[in-house]
Amino acid sequence: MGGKVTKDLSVDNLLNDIKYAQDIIDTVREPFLVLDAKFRVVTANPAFYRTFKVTKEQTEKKLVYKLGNHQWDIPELRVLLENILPKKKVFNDFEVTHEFQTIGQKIMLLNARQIDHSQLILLAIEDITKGKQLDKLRASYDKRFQALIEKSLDAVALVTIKGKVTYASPSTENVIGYTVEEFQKLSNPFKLAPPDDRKYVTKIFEKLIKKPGSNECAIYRVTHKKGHQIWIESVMTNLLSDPDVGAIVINYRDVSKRKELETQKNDFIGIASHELKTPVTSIKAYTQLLQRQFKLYGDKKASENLANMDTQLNKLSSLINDLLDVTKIETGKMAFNYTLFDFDTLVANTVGQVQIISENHKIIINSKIDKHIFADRERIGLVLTNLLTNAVKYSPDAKKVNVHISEKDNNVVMSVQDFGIGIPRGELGKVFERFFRVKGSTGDTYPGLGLGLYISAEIIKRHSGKMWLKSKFNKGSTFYFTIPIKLKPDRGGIKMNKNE
Amino acid sequence: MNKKIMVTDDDTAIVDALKQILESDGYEVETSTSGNPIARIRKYCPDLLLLDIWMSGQDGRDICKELKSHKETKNIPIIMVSANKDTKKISEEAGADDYIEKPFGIDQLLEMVKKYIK
Repeated sequence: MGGKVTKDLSVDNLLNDIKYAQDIIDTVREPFLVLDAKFRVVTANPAFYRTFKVTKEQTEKKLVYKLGNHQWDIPELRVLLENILPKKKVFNDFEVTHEFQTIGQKIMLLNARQIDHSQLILLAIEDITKGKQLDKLRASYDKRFQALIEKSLDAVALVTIKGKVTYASPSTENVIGYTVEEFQKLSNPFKLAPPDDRKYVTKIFEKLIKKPGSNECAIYRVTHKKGHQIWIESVMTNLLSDPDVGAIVINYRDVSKRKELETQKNDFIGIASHELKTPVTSIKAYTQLLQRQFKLYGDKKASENLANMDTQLNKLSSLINDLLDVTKIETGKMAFNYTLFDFDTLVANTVGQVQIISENHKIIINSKIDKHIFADRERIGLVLTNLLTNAVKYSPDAKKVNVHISEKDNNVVMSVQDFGIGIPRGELGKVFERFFRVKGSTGDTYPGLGLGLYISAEIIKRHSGKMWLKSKFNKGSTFYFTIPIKLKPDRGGIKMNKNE
Repeated sequence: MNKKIMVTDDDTAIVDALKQILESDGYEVETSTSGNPIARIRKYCPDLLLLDIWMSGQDGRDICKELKSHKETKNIPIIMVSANKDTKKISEEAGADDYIEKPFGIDQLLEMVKKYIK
């Protein structure tokens, strides 16, 4: 090789350059054309053939305007191209929309310039049809979501961790009467709630900001701009750590109508159950009177029948009491009458009463704690009665019910165990809900309103205790509750509901 | 002489049943089912008053307070009777001696009556 080194190198370089250029031409994914000074196609890259579904023969040496049925014969393009060589001009991003016979509508960006020191023009064609379609789709999505938020009856607010309102949707005004600007000027989004409600909702907000991703629901009153109070239901979501949102999202609506209906319903049940009690009282009095009279005359059978009637009247009045209690729970008016009493005695008395009406079961008290507690004796008695009568009611084929009392962490722990139909796993969570009634294996329900456990759980909750259960379907259930052992009221008096 | 009990309630059935029950236990019973019973109570001078909290047109609480504030009637024991769950609280506030919730059992009632009439 020796002396030919220089020449060989330059040929090699040239060949390399051509190969290099060809590689670029072949690999560039964007179509382009190289045109001569008369706008004939010198060369086109594979991407051009691919994109416009044409062949080399249909393209090379042809006038660009005549390509593909004159589809490039666009007046503006002519002007632009014709100015490139004489005026050494460059044009960038000339947008062209064209309906091609073979490939349909395309939106393209054209870029053209003179190739260095030659009488050649490089025309690059960027197909932006897909991008444009996506942009259009995105814009329509954005518009749709925007409309969803802005036209929604619910108002939306974005709030910082410090409670500053950074966004309020237009419906703000529909809900609370204040304009978006007025609402955003408030020092926090709960400023319009009366003091008690503000305290309540602020507490929930503070709980929420501690847990990223969590949400909380709150129902509270707010003073409308026109001066009247409305009820607001808020769903707050902590999206502080979501990079797209970075705020607390509060979605709220006016639920005054619903609240009003609830109040009407509760008032109605309250009045109805009170009215029901009056005739029950006189029927009960007459029944007992008759019972005494028949006993006096020696009519044993009639006297027994009337005793049974009296038992049924007691059931009726306890159902009426349940209805009354539910309305009291829901209106926050359940009052408690706290006294100090011996827990074992209450259990023994209640078991005694339930035992009388439960002939087939033996209710066994397995332990004692010998402790006094400070609680509402009558209502704790009601909880015990509910658990015991349920245990009997839902174990028709069993012979016994176990009662266990113990002490743990300064709490009374009470349990009532039955060997009855149990509760299917999927329904365990519903047991303490209003109107829930478990179904036996045959799908039958047992008599009752489904209020006993709901009321019981509420009573225990209001005593700062807990209530839960363990259950196996067809094997039986054990219900537990705890009550803190206290000998006197909490400091600052007994915790009362604010409505009392 | 039999002890006298006055029963006031706007529900005539309850008043009638109570009257029979109490009479069968040997008490003399006077009843009032409408209007302001205070004048009649003064005249009758019962040994015990069974007073309904919600008498139509009359508030048992006011009647109780008034009776308890007059020398000649303040020593009459008053038992408030009501279907209201807050009977205890209401009767304490009105200054009644005791209370019984509707519906009640005969035995429960008679026991309470005995407590105040010896």
